[in-house]
Amino acid sequence: MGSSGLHPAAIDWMALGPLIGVCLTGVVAMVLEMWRPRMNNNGIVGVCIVGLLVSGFLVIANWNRPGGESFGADYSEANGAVGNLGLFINDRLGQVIQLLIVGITLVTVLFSEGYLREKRLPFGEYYPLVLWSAAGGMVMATTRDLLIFFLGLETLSIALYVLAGLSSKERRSQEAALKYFLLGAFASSFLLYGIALIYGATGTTHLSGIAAIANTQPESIATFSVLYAGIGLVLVGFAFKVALVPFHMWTPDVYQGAPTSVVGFMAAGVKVAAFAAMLRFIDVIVFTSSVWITVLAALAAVTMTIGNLIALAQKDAKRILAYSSIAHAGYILVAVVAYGASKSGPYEPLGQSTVAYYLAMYGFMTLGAFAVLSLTGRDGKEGSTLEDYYGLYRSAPFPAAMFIVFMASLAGIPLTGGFLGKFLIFRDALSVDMLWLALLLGVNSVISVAYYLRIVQAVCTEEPGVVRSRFAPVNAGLFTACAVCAFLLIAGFVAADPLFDWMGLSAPGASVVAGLPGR
Amino acid sequence: MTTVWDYIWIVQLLPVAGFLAQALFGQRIIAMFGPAMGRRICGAMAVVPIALAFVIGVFVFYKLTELAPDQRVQISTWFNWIDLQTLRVPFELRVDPLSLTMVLIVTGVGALIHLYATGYMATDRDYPRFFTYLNLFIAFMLMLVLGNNLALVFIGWEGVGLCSYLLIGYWYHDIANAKAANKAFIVNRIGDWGFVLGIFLIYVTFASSQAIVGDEARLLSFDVILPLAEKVLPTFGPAVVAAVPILLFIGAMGKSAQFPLYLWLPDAMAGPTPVSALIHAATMVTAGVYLVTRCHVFFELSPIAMLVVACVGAFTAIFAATVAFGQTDIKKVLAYSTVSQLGYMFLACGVGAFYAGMFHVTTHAFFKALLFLGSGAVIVAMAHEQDMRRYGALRKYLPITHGTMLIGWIAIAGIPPLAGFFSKDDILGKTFASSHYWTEHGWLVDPKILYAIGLITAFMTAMYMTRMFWLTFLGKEERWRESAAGVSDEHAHHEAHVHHPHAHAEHEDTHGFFLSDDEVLERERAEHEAEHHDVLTPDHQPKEVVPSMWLPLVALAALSIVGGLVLSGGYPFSELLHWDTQHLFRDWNAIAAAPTLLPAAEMFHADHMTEWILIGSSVLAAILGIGVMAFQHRLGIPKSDREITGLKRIMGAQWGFDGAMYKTFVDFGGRFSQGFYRWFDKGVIDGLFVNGSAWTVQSFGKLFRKAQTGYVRSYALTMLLGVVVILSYVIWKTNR
Amino acid sequence: MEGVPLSAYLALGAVLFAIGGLGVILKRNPIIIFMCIELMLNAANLTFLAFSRYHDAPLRGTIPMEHTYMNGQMAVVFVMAVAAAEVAVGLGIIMAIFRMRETVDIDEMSGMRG
Repeated sequence: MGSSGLHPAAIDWMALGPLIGVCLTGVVAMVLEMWRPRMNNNGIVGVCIVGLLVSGFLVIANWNRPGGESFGADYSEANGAVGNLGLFINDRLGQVIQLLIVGITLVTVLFSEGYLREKRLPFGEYYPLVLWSAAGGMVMATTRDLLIFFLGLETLSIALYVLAGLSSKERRSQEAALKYFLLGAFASSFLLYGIALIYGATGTTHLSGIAAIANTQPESIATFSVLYAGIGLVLVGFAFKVALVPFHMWTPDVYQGAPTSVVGFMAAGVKVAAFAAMLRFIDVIVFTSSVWITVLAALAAVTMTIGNLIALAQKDAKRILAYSSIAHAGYILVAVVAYGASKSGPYEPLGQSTVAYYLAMYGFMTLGAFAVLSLTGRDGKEGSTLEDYYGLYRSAPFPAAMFIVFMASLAGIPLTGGFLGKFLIFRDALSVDMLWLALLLGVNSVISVAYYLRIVQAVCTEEPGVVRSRFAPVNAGLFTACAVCAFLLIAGFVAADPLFDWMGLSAPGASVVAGLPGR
Repeated sequence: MTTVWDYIWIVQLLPVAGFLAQALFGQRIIAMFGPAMGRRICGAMAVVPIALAFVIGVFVFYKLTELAPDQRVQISTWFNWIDLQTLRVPFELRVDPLSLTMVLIVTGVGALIHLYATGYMATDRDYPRFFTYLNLFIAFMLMLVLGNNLALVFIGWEGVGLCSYLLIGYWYHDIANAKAANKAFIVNRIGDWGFVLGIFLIYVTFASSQAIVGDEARLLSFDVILPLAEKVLPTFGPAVVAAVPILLFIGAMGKSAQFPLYLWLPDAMAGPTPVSALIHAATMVTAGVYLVTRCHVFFELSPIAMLVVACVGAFTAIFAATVAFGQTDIKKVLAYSTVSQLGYMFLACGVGAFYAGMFHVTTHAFFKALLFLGSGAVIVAMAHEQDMRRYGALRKYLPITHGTMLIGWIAIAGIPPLAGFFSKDDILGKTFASSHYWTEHGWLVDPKILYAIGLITAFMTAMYMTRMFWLTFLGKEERWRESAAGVSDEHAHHEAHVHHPHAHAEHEDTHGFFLSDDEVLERERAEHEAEHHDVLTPDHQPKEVVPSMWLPLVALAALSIVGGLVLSGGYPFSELLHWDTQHLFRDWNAIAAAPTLLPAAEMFHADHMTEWILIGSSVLAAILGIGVMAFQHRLGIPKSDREITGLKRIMGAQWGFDGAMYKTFVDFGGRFSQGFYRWFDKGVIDGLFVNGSAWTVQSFGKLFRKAQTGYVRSYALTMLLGVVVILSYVIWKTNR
Repeated sequence: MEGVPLSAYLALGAVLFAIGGLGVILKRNPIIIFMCIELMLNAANLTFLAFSRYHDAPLRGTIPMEHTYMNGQMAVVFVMAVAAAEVAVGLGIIMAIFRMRETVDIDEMSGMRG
C-alpha cells in the first residue's frame, strides 16, 4: 500500500449532510406510512416539508465551506496527474444543484397531496419514493466518479419507474411505467457499457482519469478508440435522461401517462440532475477531442428543432409540455456546448452560471406548469387534452394567472427568468462563435410561442356550460407551489445580478448580466 | 447629502402618493363611509397633496430667490435610471426659476381646480376614478416640468397625454366622448413623433461630438446639453441646426394645439369642465411653450426655426380667433380662445421673447382657468346645457359666477391693469420691436406683419369674449324659457321630454359646502339616468353653485386682477415685495436658467414714444372689440347667432379645415389603408409569409410526429440507430 | 491467465451486448426484453472484470494498479445490486399490467403515440 501514495480517505460528513437529510426524511416518511391513519398522508407531508427545509438549510450551511473531493483515494500528493479520486465533491455547482433539487422536491411535495387525493391514489409510499429519487439526483450532481453517478442515476430512475406506474389501475400510467422502465434500463446498459470502456481505457471510473489521459496523451490509438466509444456511450446515457433527440422517444408517452405530479418532478428534477452531471462530464471530455462539441451541437440543434416542431402538432397539454421539455433540453444543451467550447477553444472561458441559472428557471417554470395542469385530476379521473382545460381561468383564477406566467417564461417573454436564461444562452453561443446555433435557438423560441399560446388560450377559453366541478378545488399547497414558482421566475429576472453573485458560478471577472437591455 | 433642493422630490411625490391612495382606497373609502362622507374624504385626499405640494413649492421658490442669479439652477438627483457607457439618464429634477414657475402654476391652479372639482363632480358615480386620474395628471405634469433630462420630460409628456386621454373619455359611456379622447390621443402622436425624433437627433449629435468628456454621459440632461448646444450643433451643418428645434417644435405643436395639430383641443371639451380648465387650458397645453422655452438655446441657433415658430403661432392665434366666432357651445368658445392664446405664446417665443411667452402662460393660467371654471359653474347651474343661445341674463341668478367671469372676460380682452393686458402687451410690443433684428437675420416675414396679426387677434379676442359673456350673462332675455324650437333644431328633442323629476332646480343646497348621503345618491342616479345631459326645461331656475366651486373662482379672479401687475413688477408691488428686480419674468425667470444667445437688450429696444403707442393701440383694440360687440348685442341676441349662418357658419366649421382633414386622412386614408390591408397584409403578409410559414412548420411537425409510433421496440430501435450514428461518426472522425 | 487474451473477453462482451441490444428490438415479450437488457448489463460486467484483471496500465503507472483492480471489481458488485433492484421493479410493473390486461405483448402497449 505504502508505495501507491494512497492517503487515508478524507471523510467530510458535513458535506454529505443534505443528502443524508433527504434520505433520512424518506426513511422516516416510509416508517410513518406504516403507522398513519387510513388514507391520511398529512403527517408524511409535514415530515417531508420539514426534512427538505432542513436539507436545504444544510446546503446553505455548506455554502462557504472549503470545497473539494472526499470519501475516496487521494493521490494528489503522490501523483499530481491523477489527483484526488474522491467519490463525493463538495463544490458550488453541486451545492447550487442540490439546493435546486431540494427546492423542486419541496414544491412537488406541496402540490402532490391534493392531486393524489383527487386522483384516488392515497399511497403514502409516494413521498419516500420522491425523496429517494431526489437523493439519487443529488448524488448524480455531486460526484465525479462515473460509477457513483451510475448508482445515483439508478436510484433516481428506479424510484421514478415505480412513481410513473403509481396509478396502477390506469392503462396509460401502466404503459408509461413500462415504456419508461424498459427504455430506461436499455439506456442504462449503454451507459454502463460506456463506463466499462472508459474504465478500460483509463484504469479508473473517476473523471480525473479521463483528464489525466488527455493530459499525458499516450500514443496508443486503440486506447483512444476505446475511450471515445466509452465517452460516446456515456453521452447516450445522458441524452436519454435529459431527452435529447433521438433518445427522446419515451418522453411524450411517459409524460402523458404518468401521474401529473410525478411528471412535474420528473421534468424538473431529473433534467437538473442529469445536466449538472453532464456539465462535469463535459468539463473533462472536451480536452480529449473537439469532436464532442460537434456532436453535442448537432444534437442540440436537432433536439430543439424536432421538439418544437412536433409540439406544434399536439393536442394534449401534457404532451405539448413534454415536447417543450425536449426543446428546452436542446436549449440547455446549447449552453452546455458553449461552456465546453469556451473551455477548450480560443475563447474567454464562460462560467457554469448560465446552465445553472437556466436549470433553476426551467425547473420551476415546468414544475409550476404541471402543478397547474394537475387541476384536471378529479374523482379518480384526469383529462389532459387542451379541451379539458377550457374554463380553468374561471374556476381557478390564481393558478391560471400563474400558469400564464409559466408559459410566458417557457416561451421566453421578458420579465421572466425564462427570457433572461434564453438571452444568456444566446449570448454564450455568440461568444464562442456559434452564430448558427444561436440563430436556430432564436427561431425555435419564436416557433415555441405558438404552442404555449395554444395552452394559454385553452386555459382562458370560456366554454358555455362548462361544469365548474370538472376541476379540482385549489388547496393551499397548490396555491403556495404556484406562488413560489412564479415568484422565483420573476425574482430571477428582476434580481438576476444578486442571484448570480450569490451563486458564484460565473467566470471570474465576467459580469453576467451587465449590458442587458433595460438593466 | 440632503439639501433644501431635495425637497422638490416631495413636491413630485405628493401627487403620486395621492394617486396611489385614491386608486387603491378610493372606492373602499366610499363604501366604508357612505357616499357623502366618503366623497368628502376622497376629495380631501385629492386636494391636500396638491395644496401641500404648492406650499413646499413656494418654500423652495423662496429659497431659490435667496441665491445669486447665476446660482439659480439646482439639480437634485435620486438614482441612475439608465446607466450605459454612452448614455446615462438619472432620475434628476431641476430646480430653476422656469421649472418652479411651472410648478407653482401646476400645483397652485391645480389645487384650486381640484377643490372646484370636489364640488363639480360631487354627484358622479366614479368619484375616486376622476381624482385618481387628476392626481396622476399632476404627477406627470410635475415630472414634465421638473425633469432635468429629455427622457424624464418625455415620460411626463406621454403621461399627461395619457391622463388627458383618460379624462376626455372620462364619461366613456358616451361614444362621442370616447371618440374625442381617441382623436386627442392620435393627433398628439403626430406631435410626439416629432418630439421623439428631436430627442434622438439631440442624442446622436451630442453622442458623436467630441465636445463632451468625462462624466458627461448624461447626454439628455439639460445642464449638459444646453450650454454646449452652441458649440456642438453648428459642427453638424445648418440642416441639423434647423432640424433639432423644428422637430422639438412639432412636439410642442401637438401638445399645445397649434395649427394644424390643434384639431383635438376643441373636441377635448367633452371631458368634465375641471379637466378642461386644468389640462386643456392652464397646464398641459402650455407644455409645448415650456418645452420651447426650456430648449430655447436650440431655437436661438436657427433663425429659420424661430420664423417657423413665430409664424405658426401668429397664424394659429388669428385662425382660432375667427373660429371662436362661430361657436355656440360656451366651452368651445373658450377652447378656441385657448388655442388662440397659445398662438400668442408661440409668437412670443418665435421672436425671441421667451420670457414673455412664459409670462403669458402664467397669466393665461389664471384667467383661462377662471373662465373655464366659471363656464363650468354656468353649465351646472343650467342643467348641463352648454349652448350659449339658451342662456342669457344669468347675472341675476349667478352673482358670484357673473362677477368673477366678468373679471376673466376683461382680463383676457386685455384691459389694463388686469393680468391679460400685461402679458399680451408684452408679446405684441416685443414682436414689434424685434422687427429690425429679424429682418436683418434673414426673416422673409417682417415681425411687424406678425404684430399686425397679433393686434387684430387682440381685437377679435375682445369681440368674441364679449359675445360669449353677453350671450351668457347680460341682456334681458332668459332664452331657455323660450320655445326650444325657436333656437335650434338640434335641441328640438328637448320638447319631447316632460318635466324631469330629477331636474337640478329641485335640489336645495341646504348644506352649503356638502351634500348629504341621500342627496348624493339621488343626484347620482338622476345624472346617470340623464347621462350627464340633464334637460333644460323652460321653467328652470338657475342657482348659484356651492362654495367649494365658487371659492376657487374668487381666488382665480383675484389672481387675474393682480397677477399681471405683480409679476411684471409694476408699482407698487416691486417695492412692497422687495424683489431685486423690476420685471419678475424678464430679468431672471426663464432666460436666466440658460443664458440666451440673442442680444435681448438691443433687439427688443424701442424708444418710449413707440412703447406708449404700442400700449395705446393694444388697449384701443381691446376697447374697440368690446365696444363693437356690445353694440351688436345691445338689442339682444343677433340673428346671425340664433341660426348660425353665413360667415359665422364657415368660421364655426374651422373654415372647413377639420372636415378636410377628416376627409383626407380618416375617410380617404381609411379606405386606402383598408385596401392595402386586404391586398398586402391579408394576401401577401398573412397569406404567404405568416400562414405559409406556419403551415410549413406545422406540416413538418405532423411529419415528424409520425415517427412517434407508440411501440417500445421502435423507440429502442431509434435509440440504437442514434448510438450507431454517433459512435460511427466519432470513431471515423477521430481515426482519420 | 495465459492463453485467453484480453481481446477475447472484450469480444465476447461486445457480442453479448449486441445480442442483448438486438433482442430488445426484436422480442415482444417484456420479460424477454428485460432479460436481454440483463444480458447487456452483464456484458458490461464482463468487460469490467476483463479490464480489471488484464489491465496493463495504459497511463503507465499514473493510476495505481490496486486502485484499478478494486475499481473494476466493485463496479460489478454494484451493477449486480442495481440489476436486482431493476428486476424487482420491472417484474412488478409487468405483473400489474398482466393482471389488468391478461396479456403482456409489448406491442399492445402503444395506446399513447404521436
